[in-house]
Amino acid sequence: MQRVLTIALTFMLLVVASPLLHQLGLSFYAPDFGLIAVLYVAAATPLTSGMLVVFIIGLLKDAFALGSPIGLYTHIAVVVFLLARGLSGRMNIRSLVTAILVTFFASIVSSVLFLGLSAVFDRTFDSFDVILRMMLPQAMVTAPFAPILFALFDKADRVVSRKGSRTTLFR
Amino acid sequence: MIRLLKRYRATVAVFLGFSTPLFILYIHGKDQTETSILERTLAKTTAPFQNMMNDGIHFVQGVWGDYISLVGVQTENERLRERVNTLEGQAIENRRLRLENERLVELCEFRRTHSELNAVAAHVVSKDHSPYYRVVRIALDVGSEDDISEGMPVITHRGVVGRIARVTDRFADVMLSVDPRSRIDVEIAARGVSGTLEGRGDSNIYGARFFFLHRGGAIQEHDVVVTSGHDRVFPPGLVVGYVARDEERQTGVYYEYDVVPAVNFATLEEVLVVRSTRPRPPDFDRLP
Repeated sequence: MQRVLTIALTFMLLVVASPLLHQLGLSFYAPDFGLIAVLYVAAATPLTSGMLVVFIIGLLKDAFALGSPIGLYTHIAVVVFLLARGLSGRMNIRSLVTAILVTFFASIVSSVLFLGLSAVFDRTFDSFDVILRMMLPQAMVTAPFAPILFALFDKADRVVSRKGSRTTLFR
Repeated sequence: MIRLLKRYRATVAVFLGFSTPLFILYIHGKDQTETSILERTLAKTTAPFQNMMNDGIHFVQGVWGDYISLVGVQTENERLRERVNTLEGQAIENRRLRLENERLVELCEFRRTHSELNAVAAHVVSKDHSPYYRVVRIALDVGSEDDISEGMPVITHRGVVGRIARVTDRFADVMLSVDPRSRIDVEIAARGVSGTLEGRGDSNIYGARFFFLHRGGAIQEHDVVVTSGHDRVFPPGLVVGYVARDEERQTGVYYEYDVVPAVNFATLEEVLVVRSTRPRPPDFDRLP
């Protein structure tokens, strides 16, 4: 149930963010809510179920992303999930500062993966300069939202499981 | 097999999670000629929600846009209302000037045709009203400084207004021809009847009565009553009013008719005060 809720929340965020940011003229510097959801799943969910959740989240991102081939964001989500999972075994990535930092670097990694995968698999891709130019701004825009969304997902998890999490978010 | 999968499920999950997207990506990265089943499924899943969200955003934008438009409309409405008020004011002023111009033209024409009158033009500066909104007294912006004195006739191109009743340096009060104290020697030239016009002083209508001793021709309704000049105040031939009804009354030895004044006192703006009358040269063409 918690996994379903995480997917549903991410889906809602993508539904809201995509047209809203487009209307506000911020689609170029839109925060990557899907990436933050993947990081949250990596920190809060076991490997196997987490893999399924991020796979679905990746597919949803692919569905909302215009112009990129399907599977691109799914693969990026899986890779980021695996990297974040490896990192979460060594440090708490859900505290305020680490959440921002990890999200920042995860966004950079995501952009690099996007660039690499597009170069390999997308025959029509020719926007290398755009991705390189957008990499840092994208990470800077996304990172501040990580603690907020982590808190949101955490709250939703606690509501569903009806038990107070002993893990405090901002340690 | 199942036991093996359970044992290595993490590895399998990682392998599948890593390789499946690559496979999908490989398939969809090709130059596709048609939409795949997966793409269609994803589109069908997300499109309704995106449409709903777009509709919601457009609705909010519409409401907000309408609100902003209404604010703009309200501002424009106020601006236009002020503009209309200004233009209405200008239109009223233009109409007033046009009417004044027409009156002055008529007054000038009257002066030109009555060159024997030594008259000074004056503006009506105030009007006293009766409780029935009738003008009972008017004040002019001429006075003794303009050689105006009591008793001088006040006229317009339409007829007799009254006579000066009181004079100060720069202002003069006029006693109207309908004032009960007013007496003017008049005649109905067409009927060969002469007599006196006396104001009725009615509270609700302007009226005067024409009384005379000797009957002449039969007096008809709308007969013109003009000054006779016998009182040596009003020059002869000025229209004073019209017979209201061909209804004769007799009071003692006098016969009496009701007369309505020729001048509308309520709309008086400009008048002529006759200071003196020069004898008119005889018109030899009209002699037999």
